[in-house]
Amino acid sequence: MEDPRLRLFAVIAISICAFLSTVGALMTLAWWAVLTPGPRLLRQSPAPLFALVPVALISALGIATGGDGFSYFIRMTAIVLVASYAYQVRRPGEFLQVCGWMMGNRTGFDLGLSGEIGLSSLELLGRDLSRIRTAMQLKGMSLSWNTFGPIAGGMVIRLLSSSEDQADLLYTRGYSEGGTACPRFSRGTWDFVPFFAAIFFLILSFLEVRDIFILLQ
Amino acid sequence: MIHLHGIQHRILEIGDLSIPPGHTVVTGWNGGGKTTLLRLLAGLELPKAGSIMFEDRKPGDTECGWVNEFPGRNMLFSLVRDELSSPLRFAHIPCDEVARKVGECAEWAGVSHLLPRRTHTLSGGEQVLTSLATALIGRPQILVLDEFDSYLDHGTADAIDEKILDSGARYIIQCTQNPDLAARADRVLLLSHGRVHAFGPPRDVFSGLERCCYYPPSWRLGRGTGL
Amino acid sequence: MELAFEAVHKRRGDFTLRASGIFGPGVHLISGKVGAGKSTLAALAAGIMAPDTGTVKKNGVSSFTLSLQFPEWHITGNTIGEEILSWGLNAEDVLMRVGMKGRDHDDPLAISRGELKRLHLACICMRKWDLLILDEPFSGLDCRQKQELCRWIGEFRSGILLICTHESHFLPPVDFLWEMRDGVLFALGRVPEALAAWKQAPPLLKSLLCQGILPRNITEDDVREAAWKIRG
Repeated sequence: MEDPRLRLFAVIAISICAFLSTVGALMTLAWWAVLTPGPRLLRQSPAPLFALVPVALISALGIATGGDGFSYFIRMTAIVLVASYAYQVRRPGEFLQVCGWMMGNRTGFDLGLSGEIGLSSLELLGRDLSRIRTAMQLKGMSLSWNTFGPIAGGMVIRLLSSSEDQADLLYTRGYSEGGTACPRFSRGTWDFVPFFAAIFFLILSFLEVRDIFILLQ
Repeated sequence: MIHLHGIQHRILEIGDLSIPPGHTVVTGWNGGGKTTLLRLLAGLELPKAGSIMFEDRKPGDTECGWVNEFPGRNMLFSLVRDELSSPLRFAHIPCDEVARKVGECAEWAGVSHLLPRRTHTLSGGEQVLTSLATALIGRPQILVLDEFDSYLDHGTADAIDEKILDSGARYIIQCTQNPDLAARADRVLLLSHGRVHAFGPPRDVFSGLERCCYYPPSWRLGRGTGL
Repeated sequence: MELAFEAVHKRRGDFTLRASGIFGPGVHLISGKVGAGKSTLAALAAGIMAPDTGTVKKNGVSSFTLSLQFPEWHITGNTIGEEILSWGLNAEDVLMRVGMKGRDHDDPLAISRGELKRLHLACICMRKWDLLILDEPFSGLDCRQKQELCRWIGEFRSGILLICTHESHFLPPVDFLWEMRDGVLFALGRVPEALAAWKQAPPLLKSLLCQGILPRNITEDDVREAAWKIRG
């Protein structure tokens, strides 16, 4: 989906669909597997799968205590996979453009700018991790429980220091309130297919399973 | 004129100092307080004691272009194009004008080919050129540059230097470790252990430093050799 | 002992690096314009980046490291003391050497870039390496520190030392000269013979070469000595 507006609305709709019921979550998984490049992206960069570890633990705890851990696992897995797809396909600057398009050059720009800075901080964290790995390799260090603590602490400190740099840059570049978002979007030929599919699945998920079969008949 | 009076801040101790408009180079040993002074002039920090006035205004009230000494810490956005356009967009300039000015400024700084690139994929020198273009795109009155030239080859540094002088900034305050660049400035501020060791035209500042490595090599070697 | 680049190709966006050549024992200077590929070459040499095609071989090299152009990229400790310790060195010895005694509890990100570079280079120089790659080692140093680094490089006897730099004034004595031109590595040969082919030569050296004067090497003293020949 090239148009970030359609992608954003589709992701919101399908995430609500997954949250509402197990059937909705199964439809979401089908949407993710068939209509998005999510599976391919996940094979290229499987890091988001780590987010499923706590989900699996909580689900196991739910099942062990007699709760509905299975449903929780399916729903959360669907949400995590859709979120990882949305994160992996995003292009720099588009969040600011979408917010500017939706809410204008004041509120929209401010919200979009915060989002962009937040996303770059996430990227920075990822790069910082690979930088530390390189630094350790060059020093001949290996990761152990003794080194893990200071390194994790250091990453937090660096993230805080980078937010100071960001504040400096905002200040010297004259940021006070809002700005021109300059939204410009391009749309792919098949963008509407996953968008309408997401909306359709969301509507279906509001219906009872029994109603779906009645509708199908 | 920039007036500094009774400054006490971290390592810095500056009594009275008046910096006229033009190109001022700040130089000195590592850890001597150069960056601290530059941050004060850019309005990024307030002095613990003393005052700084740009003509009749405080540092924060004047448009200022700033380049950090760590090239990677000058980047706010993920794309070079967004980086360059940010001061204009923050100033609510219409999109068409932003696009035109970004194109012109990128051409001027020689970074047009970098516009679609991601900022973290740039080399140190490319990051510096991008930061410099971003600092200048809003045509600031004061330009504060912290050792941006240490990641540039001499050809690029010289070419960019000429462009900076031609940028229209009323005050260019530049920290450098290149004595030949200092020799070409309007005046040199030599800092040592947070204090002003010498301030004035390059000839005056360097006159007593012929035995020191700060003495511009082009002067040392150029005399009588025609180099 | 050698570092060999065999038909190495590396593509990064629109930029492509091509390198072939053998770096034997001695000091090798690699110069090039901004974005010419010096840092990419250094990363390939150290093995922190893999080539798309071709191979980088380190024959007979048992210890090696790369000093990245940004000293902050090496930081793994939260204090200066921890940072020195991460290099397997005694904090007191290193701090004494760089004139920063008593600052082992300072945050390495809060000191000036020049001080951080000095500290980082001291950690590198106090260990013994078969292959050492220094990417822009002079950037951020004051002239006194640059001279000190040149002295240390001048004393580098065993092993292979690669220096990627665009420093113009304070250069160390080097054995071999290389140049990166638009992503392609060129071997210029042994110094001083190679100087005549050095397109990126610093301005003063270039002026001497234009006048037909070939300095013994590229250090400040060599250039000064050669310049005095003009003066007579």
